[in-house]
Amino acid sequence: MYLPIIAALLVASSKAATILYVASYGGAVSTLSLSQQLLGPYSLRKVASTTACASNPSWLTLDQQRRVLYCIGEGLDSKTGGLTAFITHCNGSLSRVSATDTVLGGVNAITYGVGASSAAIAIAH
Amino acid sequence: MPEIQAAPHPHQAVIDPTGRYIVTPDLGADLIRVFQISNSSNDLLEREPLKVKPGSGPRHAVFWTHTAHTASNHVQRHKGPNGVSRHIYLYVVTELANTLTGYRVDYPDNGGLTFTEVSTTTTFGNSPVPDGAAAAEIALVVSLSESLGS
Repeated sequence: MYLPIIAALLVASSKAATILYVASYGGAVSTLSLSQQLLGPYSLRKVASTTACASNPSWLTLDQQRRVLYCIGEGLDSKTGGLTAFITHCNGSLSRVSATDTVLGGVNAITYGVGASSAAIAIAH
Repeated sequence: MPEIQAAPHPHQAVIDPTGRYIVTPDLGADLIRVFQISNSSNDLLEREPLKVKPGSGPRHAVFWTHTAHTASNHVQRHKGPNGVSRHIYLYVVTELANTLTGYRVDYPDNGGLTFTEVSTTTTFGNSPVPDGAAAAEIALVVSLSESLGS
C-alpha cells in the first residue's frame, strides 16, 4: 500500500497523524488518530471501533510488516480465552480475518518466526 | 501467601536480542522461564529458568544490549573484534516486592541462558516503598550521551 508513504510526504505541509489501537476489557478494540496542527496542539479522536475480538480483549500485538493486528482475549467472562487476527487498513478500520480459542488468562503476546515466511505467536497466560 | 502465587502466572513474553529465546516472567512461581526457539520450526523448548527471590513476583522484564567501542590500545575483558565488547542484560521488575533487578545474560555453548545478578534496587529508588505499591511495567530508555561516552 502506498498511501502511508504519500501521507508521510505531506507531513511538512499539513498535519501528521499517528494511529493508536486500544483494547478494552469491555470488548471493544478502538482505533484512535493522534494528529497535530502544524507546530500546534495535538488532538486525539476515535476513527474506528470493533467488537470482533472475543473474550475480553487484554493485549494487542501489531505485526507491522504483514499489517496484522493480533488481539488476545483474557477470557474473564467466558470459558476460554481468544486469539483474533485483524487486517489493518489505512483509514484505521480493522477487518477480522481469523480467530481461535485459547486457554484462559492471556495477558501478553509476542510474534516471532523461523525464516522469512513463517510466523508464530507466543502468549503468556 | 498472596493468592496470585498459588499457581504459575506467566505475565509477559519477551524475545531476547539474538532472537533465539523467549523468556516469560512468572508472577506466581517466582521464575523467569526460558524457552529456546527451535532452529527448524517455531516450537519452543523449555530450558533452565532463572529463579528470582521467593515471594517477589516477577511481572515484566526488558533486555538491553550494551555495546562499548573503545580504542584498540585500551586493555579490556571480553574483547570482541575491532575493539567492540558487547554485554546483554535483563532487567526484571517484581510486582510483590517492587524491585528492579539487573542480570548479565550469558549464552553457554550447550544452549539455554545463564544469569548473573549485577544490581538490585526498589522501584522507588532511595525512597521507602509505600504500602500497597505494585510495580506493573518496565521501559528502557538509553540516553545518547551515555552510549557515546561508553
